[in-house]
Amino acid sequence: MEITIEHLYKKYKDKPALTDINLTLPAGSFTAILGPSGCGKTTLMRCLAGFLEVNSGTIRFGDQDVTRLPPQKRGTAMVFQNYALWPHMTVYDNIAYGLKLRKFSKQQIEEKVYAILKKVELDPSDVRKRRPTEYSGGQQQRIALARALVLEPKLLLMDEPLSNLDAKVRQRLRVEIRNLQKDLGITAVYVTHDQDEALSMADRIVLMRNGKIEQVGTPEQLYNEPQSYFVSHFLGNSNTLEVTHRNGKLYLGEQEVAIPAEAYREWRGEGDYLLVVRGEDISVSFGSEPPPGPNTVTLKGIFRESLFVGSGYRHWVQVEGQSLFFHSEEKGVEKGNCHVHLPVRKCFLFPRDGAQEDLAR
Amino acid sequence: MRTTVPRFVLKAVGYALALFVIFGPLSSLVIWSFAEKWYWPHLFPQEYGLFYWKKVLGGSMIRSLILSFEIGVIVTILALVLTVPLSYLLARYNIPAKAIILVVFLLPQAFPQLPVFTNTMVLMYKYDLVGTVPGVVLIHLVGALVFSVWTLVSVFRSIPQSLEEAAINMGASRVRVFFTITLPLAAPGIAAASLLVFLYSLDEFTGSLLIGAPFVITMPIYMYNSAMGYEMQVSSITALLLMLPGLLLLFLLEKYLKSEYLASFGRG
Repeated sequence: MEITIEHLYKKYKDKPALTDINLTLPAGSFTAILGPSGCGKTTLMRCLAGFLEVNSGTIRFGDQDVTRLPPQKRGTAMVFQNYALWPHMTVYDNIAYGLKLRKFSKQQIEEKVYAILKKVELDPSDVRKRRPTEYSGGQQQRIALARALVLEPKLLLMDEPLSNLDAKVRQRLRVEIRNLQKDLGITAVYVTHDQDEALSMADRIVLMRNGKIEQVGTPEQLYNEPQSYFVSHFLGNSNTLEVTHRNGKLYLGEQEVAIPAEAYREWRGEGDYLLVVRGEDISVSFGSEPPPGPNTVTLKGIFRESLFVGSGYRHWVQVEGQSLFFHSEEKGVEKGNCHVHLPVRKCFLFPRDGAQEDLAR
Repeated sequence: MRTTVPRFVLKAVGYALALFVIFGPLSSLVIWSFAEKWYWPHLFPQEYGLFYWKKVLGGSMIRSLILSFEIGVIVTILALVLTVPLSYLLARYNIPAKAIILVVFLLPQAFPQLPVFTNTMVLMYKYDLVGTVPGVVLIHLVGALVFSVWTLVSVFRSIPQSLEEAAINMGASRVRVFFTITLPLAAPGIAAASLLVFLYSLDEFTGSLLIGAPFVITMPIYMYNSAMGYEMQVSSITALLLMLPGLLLLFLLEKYLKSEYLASFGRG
């Protein structure tokens, strides 16, 4: 079922929480709403579920306008960060609650509950005796997922469902949730502040900030073609260099940065710009200056330090007093003067003004 | 070589001291209740016996005991019927006059009881409630509602809202959610609150004396009367009987009442 959101506004008292949200979620798609805390992602999800009334705008599920519909009538299913399982009921009763509301017969309920338990890979043997609190966090979230999916919802809403779990369980459930969603073919919205989760699970990412949508696209689009400084800076292991365009050339301190015009995401004439480059795209060489390549920007820098981080080393290089960090498997043996190479295609330039707020972080 | 006192001896001494401090004063009540003859300068009674126990349990005292329990039950039921929905609303919704409602509930407790109850008495004379059981029930409710709201608001706040939202999301109506999710989860807290209210009613003295006496004699009034008449044995037995529900509460409280029920009141 396709979800359409048009010109959605939501205010808390006088504080705007969502401003002019326009979004279409294709049927059967997995959309991640990503953003820092306070960006409005949870508000947007709660508006979809119907727990919050919007100030203006419309939400449509398929052809149906649900903007003013109470949450009970929307047919969404929600999975909560704290699982929200009912501790006074057995696991079976938790999952069967919604089915009982829908007046299924005892036998039908039993069939559906056991079928969904199998789908989420939960041991069905003592679900009629045990209560959710007797299960581990990962298992509890599986129960919560089963409880939501057993109703065959039109729209599955997940509010940071994995953030209370430890890393290994999280990795596994990511894959499982994603497979379940594709398997059942339901439209899913997944709120998270974890970019790895969003990048690895979603078909589409909606990146939000301050109640507005910054960019919508596939994970690859957002990562490789950020449209704003915020997006480029938020995703990945990004480094920011403050540069200035003067007399027709781009300078980093006193060094000229030989970069073609296409690296500018937005051309504002002479003035201050921000150059963003991801850690994995940086390389360093020592010794005499290599010949300048057409696709590489080379800068003089100072190699400061390598820190061991388990999977490899984190290196710290300074260029004109500004720091760059990147990762590699080998330890840097040499220190001191070096050349820093940045692939032109992986350099993003944004005007500095307008990005002040993000720099302050 | 230094001999050390075994730990369990120290522990035993500690327990004995604690028991003495707690139960020492109470033991005089127990001794008094069994004393049939005890005159100065004897350290202990000259004669022990069950005479006064029989007298108390067979006489007018038992009527007061039953009356006190009846009033306690009525007060508890009324307090719960009134405060469970109110506390739920106060805990879950942003009611415009929330602060005012809470203050109104605290107000009678903010002033000395005697003048408040005396004024209430004047009002109750108008409606012929003085000296009647309904009058005593009403005066007990003044305090009982406070205890009840205090505890219940915190009880409901301690239930995560997402538990209710999960049910609403599945299509359950608000009423259904309240009865299938909220109420069962709040049950231990409500039990604790009703015990608090029941005990309050059982032990309430000032209001009962002003409104009830001399026609409605609850246990505390009965004890007061007998103590005033120097019937040490009778008042001792009454005191002991009044303590029993308190002891029961202690055990139940430990089981059900979480400290945060009381602590979170007035927050948010």
